[in-house]
Amino acid sequence: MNTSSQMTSQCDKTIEALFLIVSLLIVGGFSPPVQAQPTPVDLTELGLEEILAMPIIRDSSALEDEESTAQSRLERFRFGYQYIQARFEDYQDGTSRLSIADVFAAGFPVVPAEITQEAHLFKIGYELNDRILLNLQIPLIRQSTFHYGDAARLGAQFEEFTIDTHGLGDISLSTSYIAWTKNRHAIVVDAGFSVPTGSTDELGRTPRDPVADTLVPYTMQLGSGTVDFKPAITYVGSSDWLEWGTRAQGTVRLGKNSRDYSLSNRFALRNWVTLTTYKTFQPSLRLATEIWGQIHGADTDLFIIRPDGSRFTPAPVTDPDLFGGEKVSVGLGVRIPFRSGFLRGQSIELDGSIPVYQSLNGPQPGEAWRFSIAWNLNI
Amino acid sequence: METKTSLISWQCQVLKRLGVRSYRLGVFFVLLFTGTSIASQGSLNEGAAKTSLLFNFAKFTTWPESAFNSKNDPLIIAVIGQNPFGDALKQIEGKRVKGRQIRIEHFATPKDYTKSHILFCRITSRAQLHTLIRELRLEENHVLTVGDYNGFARAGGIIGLKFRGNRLALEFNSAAAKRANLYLSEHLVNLAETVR
Repeated sequence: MNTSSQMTSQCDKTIEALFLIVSLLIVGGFSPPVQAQPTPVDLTELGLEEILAMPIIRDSSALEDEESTAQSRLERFRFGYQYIQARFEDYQDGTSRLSIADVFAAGFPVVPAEITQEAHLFKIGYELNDRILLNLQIPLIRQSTFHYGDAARLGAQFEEFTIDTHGLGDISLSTSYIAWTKNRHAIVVDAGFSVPTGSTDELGRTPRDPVADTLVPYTMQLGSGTVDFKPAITYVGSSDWLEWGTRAQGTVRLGKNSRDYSLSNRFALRNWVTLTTYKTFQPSLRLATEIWGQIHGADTDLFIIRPDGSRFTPAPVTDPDLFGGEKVSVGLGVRIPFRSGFLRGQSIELDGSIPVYQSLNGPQPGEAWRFSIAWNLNI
Repeated sequence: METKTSLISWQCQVLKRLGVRSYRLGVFFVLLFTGTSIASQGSLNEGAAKTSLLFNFAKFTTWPESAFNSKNDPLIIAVIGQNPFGDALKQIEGKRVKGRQIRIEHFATPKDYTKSHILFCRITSRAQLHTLIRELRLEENHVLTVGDYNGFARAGGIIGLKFRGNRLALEFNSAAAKRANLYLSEHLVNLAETVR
């Protein structure tokens, strides 16, 4: 490097340093650090536009809000799990009770005596906004039926036997819309569908074939096999110490399934009242009415063909005409919401009911009882 | 000889440097004007900005006559939850809006919040907000609910405050305002994003 270039370099450095110092002094003098100090102002003199145009120095609690913002997005999710068990046993024809012997006497060689249905429902809800909630429900189902058989006709192997099925039921998707609110009253409209993810081809060891599995009756299948429309409308009201409501809901089968039948449409009306005096223990009383009909069409694999070519149904639960009826149930429940501690946002609900009136297209096994336990979480 | 060469070189470099200086002068002026431009806008603490907004909301909202017992009744501003205003709220206490003196209240029980005209809700969950709105019975009590909870206006509050970058923005729920029988001036509504 020659002397000239050395001088140039030194001169450059000197000028750059001077430039930087002067720039910082002048610019710094005209413009105070924007984020460091707020401008002192009379807060009553600022217009809306001015405030909204101003850079805001956020305080530490605002930073916490960022976290609560993320939290609030999560809070839109609702998770739930419900276990339901129902038992069907005593036979009825209309409102008349029938014994097992009566059913045998009606010509059925097989009589399902105890039907136990269990459902594990996994629920996810998402609050789209303050009025719309989207729901997804995934059921896992287990069913078990204990049978008596006419040993003289079926052999000793089928004098008493049990059939079990289990697996995924029909997944349902629904939307709840808060259509109207006034003071402490609200009306919620639901529209949903269930899709036929539950099997209608379940097999088991039945008297029709002692060595190979054959199709099990309608009551033992895991799904309807059809897309089902599930509308509902709910009214809810509350006072300082009570909550009450009524819900009308339907299940409308859309078409027939791949086995050429459709379960009947169902209609239910549920009314309840909950005592909310105590925030952590809220008992409730429920009255429910349900109406449903016969199966449309038939799964011909459930029939037995006699030598003369006529069809024969070996058990009441294989006859599509022996479904349907009306039922009124009374239930007691309790809701236990957790409002603090690590269980905050969660609640547990217990519910049990028994029918007080049943009129069935029989002979048909009536419902004996049902209970459920549910856990809900709003994150 | 060496000195002469140095002088020529120096003169040439000065000329070159003039170009360089021009560029740097440009940067200098950009810095200068950018700096003064930002400085002229000023800045506000979050608490002060929100306090000033509350004062403006009081100016641009019309309450029904039934919201006040007499012409001399104060306009009550209350806060639920953690106070995000610091001491700034004191700066508007006693000031007059539409002939009414502003009073800042700290109520002891949730039921008393229905006595407020503007209620700043520092809530932490949607469930809490829904409960609060239900308890306020807006049809009867005409409370202008303001909050900085994310999605406050969408969830049923009337005016929501949120940050866009380092500036505040407003969200407005017209259905909720209608339910509370409050009229918010077009000036205010036009500056807000109407979410419902």
